[in-house]
Amino acid sequence: MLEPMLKPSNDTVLVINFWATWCAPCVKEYPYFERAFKEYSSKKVRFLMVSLDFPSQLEKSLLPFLKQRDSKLPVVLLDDPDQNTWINRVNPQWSGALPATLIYRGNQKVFFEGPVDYEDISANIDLLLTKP
Amino acid sequence: MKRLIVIFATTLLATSLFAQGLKVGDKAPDFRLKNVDGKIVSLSDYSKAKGFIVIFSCNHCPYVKAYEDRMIDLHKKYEPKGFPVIAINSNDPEVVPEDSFDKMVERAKQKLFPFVYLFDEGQKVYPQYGAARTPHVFVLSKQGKEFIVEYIGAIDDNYKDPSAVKEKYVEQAVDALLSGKKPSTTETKAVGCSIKVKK
Repeated sequence: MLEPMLKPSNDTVLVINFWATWCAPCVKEYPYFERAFKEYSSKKVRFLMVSLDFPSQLEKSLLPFLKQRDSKLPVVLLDDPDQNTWINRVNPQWSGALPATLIYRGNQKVFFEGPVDYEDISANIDLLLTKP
Repeated sequence: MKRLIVIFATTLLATSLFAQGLKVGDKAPDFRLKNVDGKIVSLSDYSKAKGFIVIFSCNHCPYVKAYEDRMIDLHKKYEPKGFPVIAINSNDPEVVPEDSFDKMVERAKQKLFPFVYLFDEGQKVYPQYGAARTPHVFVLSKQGKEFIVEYIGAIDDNYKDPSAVKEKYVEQAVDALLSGKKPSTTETKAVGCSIKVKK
């Protein structure tokens, strides 16, 4: 189900954000992703918000957050405690601290550990969209 | 969700870059930081220690909360063997009020921390170590007057369920050092809360 969404493609830019509702800087930057999601709705850009909320807090934290925002951003909950394995697979530069953002197209990618603002997101999407 | 991970593994190219800060084998700097009891603590104060389990920690982070009891257990098990836990909060309380010194004192009392819980006032120590998140562990061995980094990373491989842990990374590292060997796993990663600084 997720596979077609995450496969790097030569004509689509993928924006992946790792976040959680308990992470204050993540919640602060969430609206920037919502804005970009709207702004680029007619372009070849896909978004995926990967939540690292504790699965036990799904009903209490994540679902109410999403319901309240009435957000159309695609969200998945990543529940794999073997973080030592998958963090390096996401990006070897990543320490594991939240938030983290990956923007890529084909084999070109930009990685942010720490908060981003709207310009960080849009400038990199624009850059990747215009690459041949 | 395993599927998500497999996709990342097969599609993203690895660009290997070392994070800033200490690496395994480096000398770790000593510090002078205030403990929750008001006393100033340095690594060099511990004349009998064979090493340290330095944990960058804080009050507010859910991952820290998930590990607090395991931090207490680590200290109870290894302090008598010469490896005390040294917890350090490096967050800026102006960014996270819950991580103020006064709140640290409260948390330490509430949880009956048997280890020192130090405040990195002015956020000077965490960049020297290269700590990026909480909890972030640095196991040090004492060699003469120097402190050598032996392990950097996570406490174990399962934050949410202590009973499902397969690899107790920190225990394995300290056990190896206690038997005169080098740890077999020297670096691991885990999700955590970023250390909070003003932007």
